[in-house]
Amino acid sequence: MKLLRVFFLLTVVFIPGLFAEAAFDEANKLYETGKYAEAAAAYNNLLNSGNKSAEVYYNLGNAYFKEKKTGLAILNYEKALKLSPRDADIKYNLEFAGSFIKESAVEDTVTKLLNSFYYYLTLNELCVMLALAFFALMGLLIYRLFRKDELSYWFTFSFSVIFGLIFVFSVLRIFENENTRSAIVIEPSVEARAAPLETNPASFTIPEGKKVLILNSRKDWVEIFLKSENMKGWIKQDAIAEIMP
Amino acid sequence: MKKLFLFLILAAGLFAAEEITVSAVLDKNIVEAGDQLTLRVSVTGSGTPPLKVPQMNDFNVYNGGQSTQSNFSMVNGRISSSTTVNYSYTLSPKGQGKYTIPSFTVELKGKIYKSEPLQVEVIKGGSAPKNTAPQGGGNTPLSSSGEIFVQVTLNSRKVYVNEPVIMSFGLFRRINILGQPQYSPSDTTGFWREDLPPQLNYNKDGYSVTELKTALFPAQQGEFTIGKASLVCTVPTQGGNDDFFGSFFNNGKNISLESKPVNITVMPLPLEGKPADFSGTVGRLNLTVALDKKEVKTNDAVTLTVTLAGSGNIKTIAEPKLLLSDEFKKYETVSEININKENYEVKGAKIFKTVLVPRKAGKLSIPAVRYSYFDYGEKKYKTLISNPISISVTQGQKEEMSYSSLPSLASPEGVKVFGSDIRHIKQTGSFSYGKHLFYRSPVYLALSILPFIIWLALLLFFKYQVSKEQNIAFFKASRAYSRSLKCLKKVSRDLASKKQEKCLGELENIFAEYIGDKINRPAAGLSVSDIKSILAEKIKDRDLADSAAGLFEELHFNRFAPARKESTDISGLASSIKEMIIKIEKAGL
Repeated sequence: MKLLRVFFLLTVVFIPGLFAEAAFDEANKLYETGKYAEAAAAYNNLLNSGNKSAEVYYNLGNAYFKEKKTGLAILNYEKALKLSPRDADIKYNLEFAGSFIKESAVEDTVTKLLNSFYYYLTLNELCVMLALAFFALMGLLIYRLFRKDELSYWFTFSFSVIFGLIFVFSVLRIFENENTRSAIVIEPSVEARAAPLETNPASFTIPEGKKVLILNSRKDWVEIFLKSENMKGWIKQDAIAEIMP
Repeated sequence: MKKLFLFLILAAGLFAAEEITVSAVLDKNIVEAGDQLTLRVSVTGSGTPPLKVPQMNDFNVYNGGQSTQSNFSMVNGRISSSTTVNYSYTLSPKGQGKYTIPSFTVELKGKIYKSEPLQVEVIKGGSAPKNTAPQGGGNTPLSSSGEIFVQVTLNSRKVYVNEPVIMSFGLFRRINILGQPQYSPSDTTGFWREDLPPQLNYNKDGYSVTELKTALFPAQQGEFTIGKASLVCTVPTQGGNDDFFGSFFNNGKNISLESKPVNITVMPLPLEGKPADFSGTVGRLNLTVALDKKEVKTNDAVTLTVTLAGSGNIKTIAEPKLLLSDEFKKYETVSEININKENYEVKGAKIFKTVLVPRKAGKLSIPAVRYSYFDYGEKKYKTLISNPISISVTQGQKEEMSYSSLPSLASPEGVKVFGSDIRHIKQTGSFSYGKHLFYRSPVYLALSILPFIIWLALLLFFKYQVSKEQNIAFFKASRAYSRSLKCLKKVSRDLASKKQEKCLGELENIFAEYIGDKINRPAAGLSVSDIKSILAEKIKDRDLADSAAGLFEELHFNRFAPARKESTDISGLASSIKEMIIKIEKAGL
């Protein structure tokens, strides 16, 4: 009886995994035979059934790119990068797709380097590191309740510094994750207006694939902010898609 | 006042010519395929708005430029000004059939002015009847048997691909021609053309002959027709020759002369005896290979010059292949062409210059250059082989320097990028169910706090332990009474089975420990005088202190005086101890 229960549990855990793997292979085959639209639909199905992974987002981005949907490609590369920020292929393709939109401000190498350092770890990895540092620090403190030697003192000192740094880093990242909503423009040259009204004349246009920050939303309008150009405007909600893997 | 008047007449002029006319004229309405048409569009009016050119998909359109003319006229006291803009276009039809050239339009102040659409018929080139409509007025075609005719001749009717053919256009005449004749050369589509000046003049069969020669190189095999060449010239009117006044005032008449089309067969190059390294070049050639320096340092540049000289289509001579070893770095080959057209033959040389950089020191050799071509004179393939050249190289400066000395030439090695694309999809995916953010999950938070709680609990426990140690005296004192009574009970219970001495020792111990615990001193070191003084100090009852000390002394004495052992009443002693303890406890020790 107990064995049956374990078996049942195992199937519940692994069968969807096997299913996902098969569906993934199926979608890859569609992609490789040049059926990019069908492949994109298959990847989307996989994602909608809860199988979210960097690889699926990456492949979906590729399928959209081949379909000449640059905005959607960039969106999915960004999502993939959030799950797997050190993947060279994702970075390369994101940059490649990005080169198709005209950026008025190009990131300099220092900013690029800082960014890649800042986003080197995923939030979850950072959380695990924070927990491990905290465990180590607490372990050392517990040890020092029993024995107070010099070695443990220095260990405790350095671990508290490490923990402090990771803590600050994590808090920054968590705050950023909670408070900033970035999105990608998925429609070709979207017109941004000064107010959320159709009658308002367009104040500027945003190219497809551009990353924007969402400040406010009202009905079907969102207020967006362009960081590098330092511009604000209201656009229709369905012209953008949020990067939320 | 004068100014105002001037303004008024100018204004009147401007208002008067509101009307715009657009007209389009073609130079001919029927055209051969491959020939060209000239379309002139003129826009006349006060303003000259831009011309809208319609889509003409059936023609290749070349813009021939525009010219502007302005007119001022005064009619019946009114000044009118008009501007005419002439646009010229050259059209070459893409196919055959009847086409319509749509209207050209001009828009001014919301009004649209149009030209009439034009009809064009494109007929098959060569065989089809040509437009014989008189062109300059009064052109009469003349038969070749007459006083004046033109003729096109070829030196060979059967040639190989790329073999030169000399085409001669001759004007034969017995009469004078007036003015400069207008020559339109024959259509030589499919041939590479090279004019051979100067024109030749000689007399033949009583005719005065003017000859123009052209070298033709057939580009591909097949049957070709060299189209007719035409000449328009002015000749004196016939019969007016002996009339002095007639000839004096005679301006002559225009005649148009045409040659007969000539057929030519172009043969493919023979397959027989074709070398494997055949370059595709046809001609009669010589090969020379030279090096500008024989002694160089490594990483210094030397120029290898390969010259192919001779007759034939010099421009199309293919580049010879250089079989160089890795000892040389090879840069792009640059070619130059010298063409000489003496004796009505295309001769010349194509010179290929290649910059070489020796990589290592020593005696290096540049291998022989092989060049295979087709000799049209002997009608067979030939292979030219040069002598190998040796070069002595001494060690020079470092490689980096040579890069800067030759910046414009690209390195033949390295990664060549032909095009870039996104990277390929990933084949394996790792699927995680419900990607959650850890920091939001209570399990993560609980787990993180757990070691802190453990540490805190341990810390508190140790704090408690320390404080308990500090209060150990109070602890002992508070428990001394109950413990001693318990022990006394045990001793009296064991009396029967135990030896007297042991019981005595235990009794003494119980009492001493009780006192010791109460005053926070080890029981073992207590003396009678200690007990007396401390008890007297702690409890204000001096008698009780004395009796307690007395009891202690008695117990002590009993234990170390074996003689009195037999007579000692142990149970009595125990009860007296008990009484004493109760008394002391009540006294508030």
